Amino acid sequence: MDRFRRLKAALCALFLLGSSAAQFSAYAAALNEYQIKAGFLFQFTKFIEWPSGAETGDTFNICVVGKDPFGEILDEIRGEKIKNREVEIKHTGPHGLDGCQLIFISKSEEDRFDKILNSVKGKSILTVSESPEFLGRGGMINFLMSGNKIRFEINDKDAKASGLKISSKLLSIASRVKS
Amino acid sequence: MKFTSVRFWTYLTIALFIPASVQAADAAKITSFSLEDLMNTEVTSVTRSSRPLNQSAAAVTVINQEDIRRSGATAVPELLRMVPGMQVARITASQWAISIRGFNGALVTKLLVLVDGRTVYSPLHSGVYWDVQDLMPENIERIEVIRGPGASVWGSNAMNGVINIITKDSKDTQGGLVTGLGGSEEQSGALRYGGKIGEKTTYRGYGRYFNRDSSHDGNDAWQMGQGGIRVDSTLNEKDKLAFDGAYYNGEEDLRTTFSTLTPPFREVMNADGVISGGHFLSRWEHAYSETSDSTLQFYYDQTYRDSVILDEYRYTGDIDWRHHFMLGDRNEVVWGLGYRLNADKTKGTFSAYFDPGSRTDNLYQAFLQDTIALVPDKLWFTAGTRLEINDYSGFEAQPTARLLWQPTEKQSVWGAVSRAVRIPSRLDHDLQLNGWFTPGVRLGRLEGDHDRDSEVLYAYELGYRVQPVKRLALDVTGFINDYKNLTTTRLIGNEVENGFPITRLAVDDEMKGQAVGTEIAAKFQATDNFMINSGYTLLQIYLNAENDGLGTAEAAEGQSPEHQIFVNPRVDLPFDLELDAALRYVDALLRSRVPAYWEMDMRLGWRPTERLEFSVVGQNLFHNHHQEFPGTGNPESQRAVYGKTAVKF
Repeated sequence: MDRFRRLKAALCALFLLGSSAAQFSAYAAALNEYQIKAGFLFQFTKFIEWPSGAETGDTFNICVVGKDPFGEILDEIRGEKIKNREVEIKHTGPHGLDGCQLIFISKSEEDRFDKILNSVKGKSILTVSESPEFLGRGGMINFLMSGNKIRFEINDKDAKASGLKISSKLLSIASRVKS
Repeated sequence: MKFTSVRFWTYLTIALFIPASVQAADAAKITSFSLEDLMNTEVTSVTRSSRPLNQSAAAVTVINQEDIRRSGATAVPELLRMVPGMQVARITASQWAISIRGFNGALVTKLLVLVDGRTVYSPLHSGVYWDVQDLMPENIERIEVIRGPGASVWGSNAMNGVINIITKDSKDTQGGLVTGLGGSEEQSGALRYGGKIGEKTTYRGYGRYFNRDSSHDGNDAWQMGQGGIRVDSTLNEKDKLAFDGAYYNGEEDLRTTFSTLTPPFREVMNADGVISGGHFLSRWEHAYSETSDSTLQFYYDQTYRDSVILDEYRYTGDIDWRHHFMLGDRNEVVWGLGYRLNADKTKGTFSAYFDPGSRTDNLYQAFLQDTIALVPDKLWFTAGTRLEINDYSGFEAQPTARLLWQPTEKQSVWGAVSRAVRIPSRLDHDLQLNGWFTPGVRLGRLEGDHDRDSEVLYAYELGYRVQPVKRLALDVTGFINDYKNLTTTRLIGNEVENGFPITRLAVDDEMKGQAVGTEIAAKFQATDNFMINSGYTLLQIYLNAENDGLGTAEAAEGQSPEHQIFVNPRVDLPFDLELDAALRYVDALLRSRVPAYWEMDMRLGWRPTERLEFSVVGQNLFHNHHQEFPGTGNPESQRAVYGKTAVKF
């Protein structure tokens, strides 16, 4: 029993020791909205097949159109591998989207959805945004909030028309599927 | 005293040096999050944060929707087999023995189980009727299991741990779902539909019915139907309302040992029992500001259970208020108040009855917890306590102190010291249990005792989580639980009653003891399509009855397995196929002579479209039948196969 007590004392001492050992580094704080959305963007690509023609070029280009809500977050994805190609992050206007495999259209571009989506129509480019109007205008994946979690809805019809094949796993966890 | 320092240092060494941790949420890198992780991650702003559970200073396991779907489990208890530190054994087709950190039995007294904030342990005996906690698996959002004392925040009875079952917001169950399941041991069907009322309100309604077969050598087939509704309304940016109601009704075949004062004195009877009940819950969440919010919750719960030797009606009303806010930049405070009214009406038989037959009890609670960022983003100290006044043991305090240190973004160390109590139940105070030592010759009676004290636990925990490489997350926890006032019985005397000699025993609290253990969880995402979830549990219990106490609960030393292992691989195959397995090893229960066993479940799923899912599941594949826990007539779990179809519309 004595030993047992001593050991418990040792345990307590350990906790106290911990409280003075303060000079160590960072803690991954709780995730903010755009960290989660960036995570989703990266994961989406694993569950979507691009037609072979679209996979030319050395890099997998993720393009952000309009005001970038991600800040530095997307830099974490830069250099990762998607479809065996290195990821490049580009910020572009509504033009020059041809080389992109995935475009994230910022909410700031709501008035220009039609124009942007028309310019990539029929090309194998995955379009993602975060506006309730997005799917109705022909966009493919739209983020929404459910409570304090991020959910998304998918427009499989227009994705198919563009030659993108979205896996049933991704479709099954979408909040809504337009097919 | 069998406890040695060598053993202790082994635990500590394991706890400190074998790398460990939780889910991928530990990783800072966003690309390491799986789709499921992301679905389950809550968005938190820097200030108003409910820190992800797995970064808390406690041993936490979260079972998410994907874990539930791919387990092939048809009942909540079966899901808990994938939690290290838990003991799960099926006694009969409708009864489970489920514990955290030991003391397992049909009615485990040291566990708090909550369904959407509604406590479901019975104040009659402090145990949980798992048969009626049967939710539709598709309605469960997640199950959080917190091992170790959780009373300071979660509430009474959370001595060895808390199981927190959270169902989905009706926003996430829109549209229709039909499921049908047919198999050798079970047949079931369910229908669910969710829709919108206006812009701000969503709802769902569901109904479910199942029939489960008798186990091997058992008389325990059962059927149950249930239905429920849920409505969620976002009134404005600051207010959310939720309403939830459900009703169930079922019939169970039971095998019971029945004692009478007339011949044949003692017989084992096969009979029918009835279970029914329902609840209504409402919750109002309000945000005062970015850094301050509150929840007000009320529920009413009613249950009825006719188990041949005892009928019980129970009525519970509970109101709970909690407020969460930031005090300055460094203090995160949660405090709350609660009141619960519990009334019952029992009708017993000579075998077992309660005296008095009816009773109404009050419970008043208050709690306060503060988490202080001692070093921002690196070191947190949490102190909190729950104070309560109950009708059995009066005033109780359950404090805890916790420290969490995150030296690097991929690892964290935490420790905790807590005091927790298990307040006496109706059974401890008011039970009268009669049985024959020798039928027709000598009787025995166990009587409740109003002087019985609360069981007290001082728990010392230490945990370490690490993600040594991107695809591997490890979590190791070591603990020492120091108990006193555990249940014993004491001899009152030998007398003559109704013409028979009788030995009278009373419930007492003269046992001390320790439980020590280590729990290791490992999650390995080998490739994007292949992951393994596994765990190991070591548990040793040393109990000592004192002052001539008869050590009824000393049996607990041999009622929980010393070693347990589970390995659950999960593979995504081409053509939208999924292959899952769950392999488990459970050590022998020495006291009740249940041998050690290996068992395995397997599931093959096919999801040709997002609206359609077919699966074939085999359970307990290694044996025709095997025993997991002793029950009347020694029923055994059987091998089972079923097919399931789920269609969304």
